[in-house]
Amino acid sequence: MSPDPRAHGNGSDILPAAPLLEVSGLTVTYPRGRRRPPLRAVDGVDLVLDAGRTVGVVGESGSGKSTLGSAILGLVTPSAGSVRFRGRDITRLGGADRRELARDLQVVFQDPYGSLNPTQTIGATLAEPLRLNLKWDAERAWDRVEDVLRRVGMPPGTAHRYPAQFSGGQRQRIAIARALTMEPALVVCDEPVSALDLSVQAQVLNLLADLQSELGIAYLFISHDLSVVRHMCDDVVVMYRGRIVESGPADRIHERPGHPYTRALVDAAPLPDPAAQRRRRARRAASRTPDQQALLGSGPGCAYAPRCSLVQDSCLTTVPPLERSRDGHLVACVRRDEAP
Amino acid sequence: MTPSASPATAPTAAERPAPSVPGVGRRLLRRPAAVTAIVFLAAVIAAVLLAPVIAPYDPLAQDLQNILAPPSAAHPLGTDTLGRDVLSRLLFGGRSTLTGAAEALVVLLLIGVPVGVSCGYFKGAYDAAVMRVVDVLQSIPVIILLLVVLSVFADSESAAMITLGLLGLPGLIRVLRGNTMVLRDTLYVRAARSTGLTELQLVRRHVLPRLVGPVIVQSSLFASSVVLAETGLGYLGFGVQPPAPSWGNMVGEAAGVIDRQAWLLVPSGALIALLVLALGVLGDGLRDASAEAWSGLPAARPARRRRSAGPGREKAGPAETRRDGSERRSGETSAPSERRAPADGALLSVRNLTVAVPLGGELTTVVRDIDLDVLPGQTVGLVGESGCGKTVTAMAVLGLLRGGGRITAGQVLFEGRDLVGLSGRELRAVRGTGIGLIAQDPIGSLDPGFTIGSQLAEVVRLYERCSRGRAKARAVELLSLVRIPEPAAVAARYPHQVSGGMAQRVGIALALAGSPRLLIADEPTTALDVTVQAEILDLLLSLRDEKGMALILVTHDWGVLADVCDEAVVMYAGEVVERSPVDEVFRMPVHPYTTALLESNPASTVRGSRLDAIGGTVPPPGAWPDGCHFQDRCGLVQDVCRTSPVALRPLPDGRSSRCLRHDDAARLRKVSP
Repeated sequence: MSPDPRAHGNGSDILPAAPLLEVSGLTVTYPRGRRRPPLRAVDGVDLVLDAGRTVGVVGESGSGKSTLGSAILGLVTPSAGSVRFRGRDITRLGGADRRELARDLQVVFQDPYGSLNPTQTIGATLAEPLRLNLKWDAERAWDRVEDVLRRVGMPPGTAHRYPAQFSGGQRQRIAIARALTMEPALVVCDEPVSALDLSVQAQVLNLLADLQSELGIAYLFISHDLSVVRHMCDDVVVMYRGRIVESGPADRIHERPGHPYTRALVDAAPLPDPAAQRRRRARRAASRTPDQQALLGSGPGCAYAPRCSLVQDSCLTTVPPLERSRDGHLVACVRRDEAP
Repeated sequence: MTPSASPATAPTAAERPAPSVPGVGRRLLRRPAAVTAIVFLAAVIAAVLLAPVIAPYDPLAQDLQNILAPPSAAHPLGTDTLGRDVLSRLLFGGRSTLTGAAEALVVLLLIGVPVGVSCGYFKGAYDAAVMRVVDVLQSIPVIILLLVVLSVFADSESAAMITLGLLGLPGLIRVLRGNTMVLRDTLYVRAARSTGLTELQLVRRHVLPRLVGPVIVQSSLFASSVVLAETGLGYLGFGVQPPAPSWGNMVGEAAGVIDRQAWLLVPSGALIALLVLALGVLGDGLRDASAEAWSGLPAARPARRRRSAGPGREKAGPAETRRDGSERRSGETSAPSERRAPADGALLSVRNLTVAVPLGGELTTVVRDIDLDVLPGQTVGLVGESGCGKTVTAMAVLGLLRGGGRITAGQVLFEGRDLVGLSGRELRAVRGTGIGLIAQDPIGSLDPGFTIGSQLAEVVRLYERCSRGRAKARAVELLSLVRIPEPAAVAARYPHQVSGGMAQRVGIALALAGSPRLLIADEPTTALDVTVQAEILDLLLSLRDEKGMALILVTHDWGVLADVCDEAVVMYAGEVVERSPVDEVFRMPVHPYTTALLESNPASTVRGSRLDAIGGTVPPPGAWPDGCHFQDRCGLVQDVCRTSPVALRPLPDGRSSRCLRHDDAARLRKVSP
């Protein structure tokens, strides 16, 4: 969306060829007690995000999309793989280095009610990183706070008030303003609009798009809502049970999904058009398979196999690799070119 | 939300407190109970400090001619067993009691706060080690340890008080540790951490301020218990030794002569009781005042009820129950829709339904003048944003209004019978067998302590007299009705053992237990994943067709509406603004809000284009404008929309619209469906 996606670099420390964010083989595991193997919440994820662009991460609950975001932000520690930011390995960065990185790497969370400290004024919360992390003086920090609040469309005087005095949509604007105070190059948006009403969601999506074209920010846009992702993102990765099952340009994936799971996801979201939705419902009813016991799900093969309408024997034993489909996206399915 | 500080006077120094938010002290002074407690405590402390100056007698001066005297001019509180002045002894005796309480409190806070917070924040081996020590501390019998300390340190009051402070630690540490564990994982601490704050800064800025409340409460409880413990020790003859006075030994002495002069127990006993009471009141007041600034609740003010909010107002017109009702005449704000008879053959006909809920002490209208018809077997979608009154409307039909809400006008005709005004018992008979409810939060609406089967069986037995075994069988039958594979196995599980989709199927089974003719589903799929949502919607549709039930579906999702509904009822700011068949509402909306809401949906736009967002937000109840509620966000607004209310009017094609320019509403659409 930005005219020159690389315009926002900070100069000398960029390797010319390195993308802004490069995730490779990232794996995050959680222990599940002594008897069971650890849960692989994120399992070998590769992802590239260039400056000024938006990559969407789509999946349902339990797909590992939020864990992926947390691992990039350093809020959880990966057990394998790497995260590189401007060519620099930040996978296990801690302490002062991680704090310094916070200038460039920011986050907007889903819940606008929980993400602001209720006991602090908006101004105190927003000035915090500037004063404590960048050691700015009060006046300079305050000017920046007023500036970002204006930029996200909040009325003057907002800085003196407490979070409880604002609606959900306004708080999400404030949370976006906080992410902007240090002028980051990348903002991880973790379901930034799913707690908002439709009209407010539209305002916030427009705001994010405007900020991207003005400031050249890149977004990692995590969402369960395919229509929001299609609207916002250049590229999309679809996750299922911790793995990427499909990735490629957002509109192409939406129109010609290659993986059966992506297709199920697209077909499951009802269309705001009764006639089209009736056709979709009929098609879905035709392709439905009897739910094959989610109990089978923990086998060695494709995690989607128990729910898949195209399942064949090999799916139950080997995990299909991500390979290019005839439509040009990467699909982790042996029958990727058999889309109906 | 209007700005409180004008931009011209915006301060240049960061973090200056807002002019509209006074400090904790000022807010505390607005609470009469807290003020009384402060005045009392200050008076006691001042009097005790000034004892050498103001005490009328030497506390040790005996007057054996005048023992156990009742209050008199010479001795305002009487004299004790040795004829010493009780007032003077109280004043001097308070010194050791209050100093002791202060010592214990200082020890408690100096050790307890850092240890409790660090245990909760850092967890791990450090926490485990400290908690074992705390466990040991907690297992020591207080009295015995105190007696040992007092015998070792030769009746040193300070030693006893420091010991008390140490023994109070387990309580404080546990409370702070638990609170900190919750706080450290809150989203805003995660957010602050991702802005690059150090752990110390996180604790200081985001954890400690939230602990002020629990610390204050714990401190005031502890201070009172120390005063009582000191009294107890004095009563037992430990601590401060006679003849030196302390409140404790004064109580002990008075107790010994209670059969001769009961009065002697009153001054010391009452003082201690009042002190403990005042500490508690002050603690509560401080906690509330420190939370008041940010909690968003109205500041404590003696509630002055307006006459208009009193009881017995149910019969008054809806418009007069507005928050600022006194300035408004009812004729101006209410424009009742043209009275329409219930639709022929309608299962449910809601007419002019108005609901008011007490908000901030005043009865405020939250939905107004709702008309709704549901035919047998029909699915009606209530659509709109949050705060528009969809859920309130649905719950009012069931007579299940929360927070003291009540129907102030209108009718709810179910199978021709008006449900408004029915007794609780009559309503219960309708609920379940006539009208069933499916809640939004499937897991939260099940009791975690009982198996799914037993909860279903319990509901079954509400509707039909049958044996437990029969009810169990029926429960399994209901589970298979909602297409749960292996229903018998699922019946034996607890709610936390099933997925969200499964729990919602159970929720539907519960609603079906009484074979209702009408199902009300309040956002039944909002908490679910999209593939699960599709399954649940499929289920609802097939049940509707099998059983011939009618369905009211509350939703904010246009896709869900298009998928399952026959009729759309669009709500905005407490009113129905449009009623249309579903195909029509998408093809040609007849209210600008419907158009605007359709335009905000990213599903119906081209990628990369701007969404046509409606500016502003839905006005909350009590802040509805005069005239049309949508006027401030409307692209078609005219002067007349701002001055007089707009009624919901039937259009020639059988639809209804609450817009004077309903023919133009569809023209606002940029994207054709």
